Amino acid sequence: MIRHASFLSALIAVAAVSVVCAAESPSGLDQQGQPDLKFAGPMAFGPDGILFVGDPLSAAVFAIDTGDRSAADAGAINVPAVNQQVAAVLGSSPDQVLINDLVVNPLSGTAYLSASRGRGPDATPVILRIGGDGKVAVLSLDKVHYAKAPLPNAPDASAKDRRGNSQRQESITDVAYVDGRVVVAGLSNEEFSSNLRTIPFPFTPTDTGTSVEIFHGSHGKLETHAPVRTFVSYTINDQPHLLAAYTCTPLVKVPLVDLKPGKKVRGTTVAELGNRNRPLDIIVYEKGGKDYLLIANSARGVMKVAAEQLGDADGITSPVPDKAGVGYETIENLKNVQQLDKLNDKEAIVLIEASPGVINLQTVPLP
Amino acid sequence: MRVISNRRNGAQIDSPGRSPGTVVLPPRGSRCLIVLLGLSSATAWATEPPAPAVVLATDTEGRRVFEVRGLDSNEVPPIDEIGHRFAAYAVFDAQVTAPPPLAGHYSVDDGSIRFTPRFPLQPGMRYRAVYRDAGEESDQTVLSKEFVIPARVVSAAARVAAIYPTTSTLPENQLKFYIQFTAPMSRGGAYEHLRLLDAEGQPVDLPFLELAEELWNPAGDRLTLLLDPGRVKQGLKPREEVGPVLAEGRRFTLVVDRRWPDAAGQPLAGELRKAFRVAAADDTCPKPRAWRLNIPRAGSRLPLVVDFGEPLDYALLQRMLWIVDRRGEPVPGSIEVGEEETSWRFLPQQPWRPAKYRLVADTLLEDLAGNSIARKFELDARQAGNGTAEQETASVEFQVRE
Repeated sequence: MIRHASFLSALIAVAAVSVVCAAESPSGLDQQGQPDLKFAGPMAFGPDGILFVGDPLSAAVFAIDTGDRSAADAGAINVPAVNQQVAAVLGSSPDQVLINDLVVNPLSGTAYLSASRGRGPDATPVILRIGGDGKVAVLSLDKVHYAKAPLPNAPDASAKDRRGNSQRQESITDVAYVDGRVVVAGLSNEEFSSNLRTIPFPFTPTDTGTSVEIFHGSHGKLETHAPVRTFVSYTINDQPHLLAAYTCTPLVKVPLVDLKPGKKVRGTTVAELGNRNRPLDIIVYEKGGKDYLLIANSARGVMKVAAEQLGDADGITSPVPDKAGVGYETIENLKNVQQLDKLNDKEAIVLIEASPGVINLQTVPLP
Repeated sequence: MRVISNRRNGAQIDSPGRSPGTVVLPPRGSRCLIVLLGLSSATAWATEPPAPAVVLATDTEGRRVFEVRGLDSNEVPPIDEIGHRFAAYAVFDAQVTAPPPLAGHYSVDDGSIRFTPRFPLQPGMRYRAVYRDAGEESDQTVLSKEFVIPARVVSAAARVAAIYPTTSTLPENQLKFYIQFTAPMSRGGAYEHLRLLDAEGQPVDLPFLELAEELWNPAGDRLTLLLDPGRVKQGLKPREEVGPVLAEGRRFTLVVDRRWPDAAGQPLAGELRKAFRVAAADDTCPKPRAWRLNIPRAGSRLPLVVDFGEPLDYALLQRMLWIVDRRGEPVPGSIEVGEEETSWRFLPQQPWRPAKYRLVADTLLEDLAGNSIARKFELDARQAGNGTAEQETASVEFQVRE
């Protein structure tokens, strides 16, 4: 006796949170259903619980209604070996799960991870939610309100090699939402170029956004294209800026107003983070009436920079000794930080590689 | 609490043909739980009356699902309790404290509960399905059963097909390598499997730009490996502190480690070493007007051969050069990149006509040091222009003769 056919339809789901596809979805999300996300990469929260997800495989940014608009503060979130917890929920092994980004919904204080189930090109994209109880749940994207913005000037998918394969792909290194615009940093796997694009939100089909190339530095007399690794928005002298950390370590400020179509923007280098620094993530916070930047590095610990110096920094115009430009302090006890986001006014949340193959999600006080 | 765990190493519970085994639990009240080992989901029901059993089955859509079968109708838990009573867990070596169950959803039938995992069960993985009856904690009966999903059929191990540039002499300011594999690779650990050795065989400290995203092509079989631009560009702190990665006159070896798993989890067929010598830095742009063209005769379908006089970027050569006719229409044909990427061949689909053509280059086309036709990799700030757009293409006209 085999009984297959008469099971009732789904009644209850576990380890998954469904987004209620409510009528009162935030404006700007014109599609409903399952977004065709191919890779869940860098993320950023916008207004009303809207999660922006960079998808380099689709060459697009998705805006997804998480439905997470509760104002309740989730409190500290600590999940030891979070990568193993994620693997368990996904029915996979820890070595087959990659965590790509960590962000906090500023409305609810809930943490979100973007991840890949599998490590090959056919890996499944997943977004997970972790609240104050430390429980890991899959964010169900089966039926959500969403919008999709193809990346302007995205690689030409028809550009194929002689074997008929498309080879070019632009990775997305960071995504941010600033004053009604989604800012996306990208890096090509072929020509050496860095693009910073701004796309107005709500997305409009005809708007191709702005592609901006950035020259950095004036290190001695030479400057060139450089890939932006991570950036954050910050207001300097009443003017919104992007503070961008480059893969080759300078920290640069760029007025947001300068990001215009076709324009080559010259960022002002305000600090050199020095050798062995691999900037990974950057946040801005306030403590004791002063603003600070916190920059996660793979090698040197976390760096704290007093933001008040940034307005005065004229830029580095000649080769400089260590800690040139604005000063910074290294928080030595925060080593091996892979991802960083602000949890609340007093705490940050970090992904730390505690030992090989073990990644902890940890709440730490803002230094 | 009574627990039956019928774990058997390597047991593939729902495959028919194994020797059946039966474990009979002590009765709780009038109930007797029987766990059948090694029976197919079909044959598991041969014993009457059916006893509760946890099985791995396949639903009508071909998905693997976990089921508890053989419950009396009145024993099927209320909806809000199902998640507490029946769950499936991934079993792996790491010590997970209070492991969470697999994500998925439940459905019920008369006397059965089905759990459908949200994601397909992973080949080679072990899973445990656990059902707890409604007894008090101290008197609870637990059915616990492990299932092993057969590993994928092993295909031939991937290997490195090529490392570009293929030339064995590279400029001191060499910017990047492309590592082409014969099959898709696993991502997320690339830099653990790549080393740059100096002439003494000692690893160079942090020579690469390590991007967590890793720069793969869409098929996942080609990695772009950038040398740390902070140590390539002049005047940046990393270079000031520890010097450039490569030094003129010295020899290095790029090593691709054999342990790098492909997308199927198998290590590479073998290690690959690319030895090279370092020449002076290249700070000049490729100049299309200096390229030598070998122009075929009209009426033939022989290739147009373009000799650059230096190696150019392998990947960009695939798509940044093309031929147009005198009206500017692209001429259909195929291309080949020549030996050591110093030349490029265009084979037309139709015979050449006696006419003027143009070889067009995207000005983003780069040499090995990232100098493009449009601009040097490192540009003097005073020559950097005022933000005006550069020409997107450069072209060279040529005449095909009778």
